[in-house]
Amino acid sequence: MELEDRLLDSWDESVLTMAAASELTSPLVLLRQLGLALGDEIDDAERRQLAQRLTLTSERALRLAANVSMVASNQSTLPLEPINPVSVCRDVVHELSPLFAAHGRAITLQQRSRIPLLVANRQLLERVLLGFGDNALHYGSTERPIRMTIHSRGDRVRIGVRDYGPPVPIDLWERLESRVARRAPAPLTSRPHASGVGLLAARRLAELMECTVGLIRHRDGATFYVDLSVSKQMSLL
Amino acid sequence: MSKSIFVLESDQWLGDHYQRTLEGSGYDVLRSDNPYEAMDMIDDHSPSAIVMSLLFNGAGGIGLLHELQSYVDTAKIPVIVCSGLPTLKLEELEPYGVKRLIDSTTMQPRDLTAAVRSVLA
Repeated sequence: MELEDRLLDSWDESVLTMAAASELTSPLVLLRQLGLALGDEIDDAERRQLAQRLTLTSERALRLAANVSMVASNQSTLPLEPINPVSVCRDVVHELSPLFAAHGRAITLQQRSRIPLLVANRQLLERVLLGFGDNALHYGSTERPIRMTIHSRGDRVRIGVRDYGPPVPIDLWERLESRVARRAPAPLTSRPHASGVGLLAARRLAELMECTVGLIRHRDGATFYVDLSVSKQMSLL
Repeated sequence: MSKSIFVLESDQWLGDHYQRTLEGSGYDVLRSDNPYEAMDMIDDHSPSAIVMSLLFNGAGGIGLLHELQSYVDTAKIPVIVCSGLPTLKLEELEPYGVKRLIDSTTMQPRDLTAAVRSVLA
């Protein structure tokens, strides 16, 4: 890699890290307030609710911190191996369900056909999909459940997270990158709550697996997806 | 009759916390997580004060402050901003009708009620 490319890469990652530090302010503020509220005179039901929110908020913040940390450490040596995408998606839906339920939301897995094994790193793929899920929770509307979908087409498998919320701009990725680079405090997208640092981190993690991340804009929301290669291992048997 | 406070906070759980704190001090609380919906609700209910964060979609938070200043009746409603932005200064927000700026990274629940009480005095 040329020196200039390496410098550019490290700049990108440090900018992302700084943006993530800023983004983490929001859940940390919430954690602190929830912690202070636990010291008030409250009934058991309220105490349990606050404790659950503390746990779920810290888990969400930790997911973002871990993703950015992985991007910053550029763990491109993580092994790629044949994995079952349905199993990964089930685990992700299982992990996100308590957070969604606590917000009065739901996330479901939809699989249309028999899905072949694919080549990926399980840990990275989980993190990419968790990033999409966190994004969908905070950008989508509350009326309809978020759908995680798996489709296979030829030698590719596409895993998508479909949300129903405000439309996203056609140049979302460019806007997010520009926003993060400028350390702008307010989101540029037409969707509130978060800056998109989590989405950018997810895209960088997918790049570490040499996968493509994309976005389909719908009239009533968006699908963020990752395209992965089907494993050829079975065909060799 | 208790006074009504409008809370505009994009984070549902942080909004719940503000609501609980204010209701615990005897205020009625109206809620929204969206500046566009907020303007209609403020028009309909004429709250005594507004507690809000600034980071919404696009220029949402600042846009709402602009909108509030555009009408004689809503311009009189005192606004309290809760923000974790370290560079934000009250002097910059005062032209938008903001009376108090609370640093959400260090605030105590009593800071919120104290700010509301002071702007209503």
